Amino acid sequence: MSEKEEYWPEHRVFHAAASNVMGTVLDFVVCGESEEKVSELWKTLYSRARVLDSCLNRFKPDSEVSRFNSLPEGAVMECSRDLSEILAVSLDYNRRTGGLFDVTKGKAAQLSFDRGHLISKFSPGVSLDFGGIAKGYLLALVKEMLGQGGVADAFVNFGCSSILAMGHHPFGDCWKVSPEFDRTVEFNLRDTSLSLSGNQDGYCGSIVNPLTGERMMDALVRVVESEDPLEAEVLSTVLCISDSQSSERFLKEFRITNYYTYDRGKRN
Amino acid sequence: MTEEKGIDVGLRQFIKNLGYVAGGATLLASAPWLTSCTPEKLEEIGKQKARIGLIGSGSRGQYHIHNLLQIPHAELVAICDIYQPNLDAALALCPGAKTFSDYHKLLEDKDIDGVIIATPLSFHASMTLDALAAGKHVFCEKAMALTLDDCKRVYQEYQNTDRALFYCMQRMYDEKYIKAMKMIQDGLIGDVVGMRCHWFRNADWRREVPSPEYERMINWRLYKEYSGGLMTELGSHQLEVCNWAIHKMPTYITGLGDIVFWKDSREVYDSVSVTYGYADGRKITYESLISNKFNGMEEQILGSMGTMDLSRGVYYLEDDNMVPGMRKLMDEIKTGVFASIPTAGPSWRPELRSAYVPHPVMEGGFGVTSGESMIGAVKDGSDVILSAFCQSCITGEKAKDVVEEAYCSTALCLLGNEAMDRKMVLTFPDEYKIPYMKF
Ligand SMILES: NC(=O)c1ccc[n+]([C@@H]2O[C@H](COP(=O)([O-])OP(=O)(O)OC[C@H]3O[C@@H](n4cnc5c(N)ncnc54)[C@H](O)[C@@H]3O)[C@@H](O)[C@H]2O)c1
Repeated sequence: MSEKEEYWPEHRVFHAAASNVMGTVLDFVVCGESEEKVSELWKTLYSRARVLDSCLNRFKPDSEVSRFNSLPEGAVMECSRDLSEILAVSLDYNRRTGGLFDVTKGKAAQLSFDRGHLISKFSPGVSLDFGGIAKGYLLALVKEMLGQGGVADAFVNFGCSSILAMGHHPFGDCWKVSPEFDRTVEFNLRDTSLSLSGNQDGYCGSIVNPLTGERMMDALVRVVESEDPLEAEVLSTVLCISDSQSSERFLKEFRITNYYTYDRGKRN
Repeated sequence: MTEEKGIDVGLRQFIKNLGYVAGGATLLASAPWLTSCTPEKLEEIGKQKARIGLIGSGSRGQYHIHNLLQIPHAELVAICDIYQPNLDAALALCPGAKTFSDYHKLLEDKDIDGVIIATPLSFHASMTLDALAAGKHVFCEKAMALTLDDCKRVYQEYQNTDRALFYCMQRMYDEKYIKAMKMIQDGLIGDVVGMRCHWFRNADWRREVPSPEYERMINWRLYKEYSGGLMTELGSHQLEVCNWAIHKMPTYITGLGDIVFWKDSREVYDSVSVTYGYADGRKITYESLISNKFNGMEEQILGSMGTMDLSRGVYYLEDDNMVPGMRKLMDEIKTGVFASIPTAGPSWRPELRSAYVPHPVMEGGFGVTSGESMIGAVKDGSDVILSAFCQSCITGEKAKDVVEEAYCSTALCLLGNEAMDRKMVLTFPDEYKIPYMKF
């Protein structure tokens, strides 16, 4: 993990970046604030991100998630507040999406979790993967921190696929984002978040349908804009695998402001 | 002051650019040879001029004349060459100089303080020894000598002389290299884990010959009697850079050399691939080929946290946290532009080299050479090192470590050739080790 900080007094712009947060880069831009204030804010955010990463990163052998994943069946593990909270949120989304969002990849029923922080599994194959929600979860925390700190203008970019845009660019009335695979479109973001999920090239397939076990290999991308970073993050994944009927239902039931779909690089 | 010309001002500015402050030590750690040519010392020599004689006025010799003419504290007083057309061409550049066809005669001239030797490699050792014996300061082209025994002989003589001896390894005086080395030594790219150097050209190395009896003399690079081929002509610069980067010498040497394309009765390889292994397992991978220039010339120092591409003056970080879209956003904010931020989107791609972002080692424009020229490039440090030599001709001060670096890199070139000739893994021979080397 490395970090970088810069501040330009003439525009009162602060930029910091941290790599290796949930396996990607976190970029943090704040405008119109003093250097002391925003650098203090960044420090807090950075250490929060580190703590979350050491809890949720399933590629780190000593992370909490890895410890759970290698836990024998029946054994009980006490989990941290973070793990407990994100798991509760995830299970809630699991319920509300009819099982399509699932951090256990279809084995949620074999997980025992009481909100008093005890977690165990009924079968040895149960494992957790928060890849579909962790970035949204952290962005929701960032949004809360910015609100508490009274920061109005900020652009937070999480690995280019999860974005939180608050207020506006110093020389514009919003933040404009354009996906590299479709430069004809510009998302004008203001006090909102954007999440992109899917396969741009159709040769990766990181999204699995938990109900069928099928790996999504099609070259399709879903872009979801929502005031709530968690909602954007979760729904952009779910909408990659839901059929048209459930998609329609989700678009009504969740707080989605804008929704774009791409199939084989073409916008529908 | 007002009449000062390019190189002196350049030299002073160059050393200041490196962060040099009078009496300070920062600069000296990564390039200690620069202590002999600090701005204060240059000031001290006032209007004195070094009287220089040139031995070997072929293409490189004439290139040095152009640089010498720009150095206020130098005066070219004599030129020697055995080949009349080259002597005439050089004289045309510097009409007042005395001319010689026997370098011994030039060395007898008491009006000469120092000599530049720009003859084929096979002459470097004997000419250097004769010049030192005649009391001259010497600036010799790389490589040091054609054999390890000759290297040793010159090295030993250098221990006993008070004369300055320089080898033209211009990278040691190239600002971007010096800065980059400092960054490496400061830990920018983490632990150095390996080095990769190559020099690719697509040219036969041949020169036109007026009549056949001149073939070996003019195309000396192609014959083993005069030349160590690609290793001494090109590799010597690049292997020096490797030693400089980690202050260590490899223990094992192995490789394959062949004549793949230019089958024109030359004796030296036109394709070499040599691996140098350090005692701790690190390696230098060295490659040179002169029938394909796609890969150009590169010297890459590979670190656990990044890669320094010395020849281009840029570095890349393994874990670069400036995503291209964010770089664009920040550049635009700086210039007051409001535009959209490109976002890559959800995709997995193989980690290609092109995905790395180059960071320049210094601000502003700086020279980068393609490595295609056989003669030399502009502003590649050759002018600075020559100026430093001329300064030493006046002050008598030796340049620290230059001879040692030349010895080390030449030894690696020659051992590379031997390993290829014998198709063996060689161990660095004890009898050619010098105290400067650390293994
Ligand atoms: N540092 C660099 O980047 C660089 C670049 C090019 C060449 N060089 C080096 O410069 C040296 C000369 O290369 P070049 O390309 O100019 O070769 P060249 O053949 O053009 O010039 C060599 C000259 O030496 C003369 N010469 C040969 N024997 C002599 C003798 N006994 N007395 C006087 N003169 C003699 C030849 O007649 C010729 O004019 C080589 O060592 C080469 O490796 C270095």
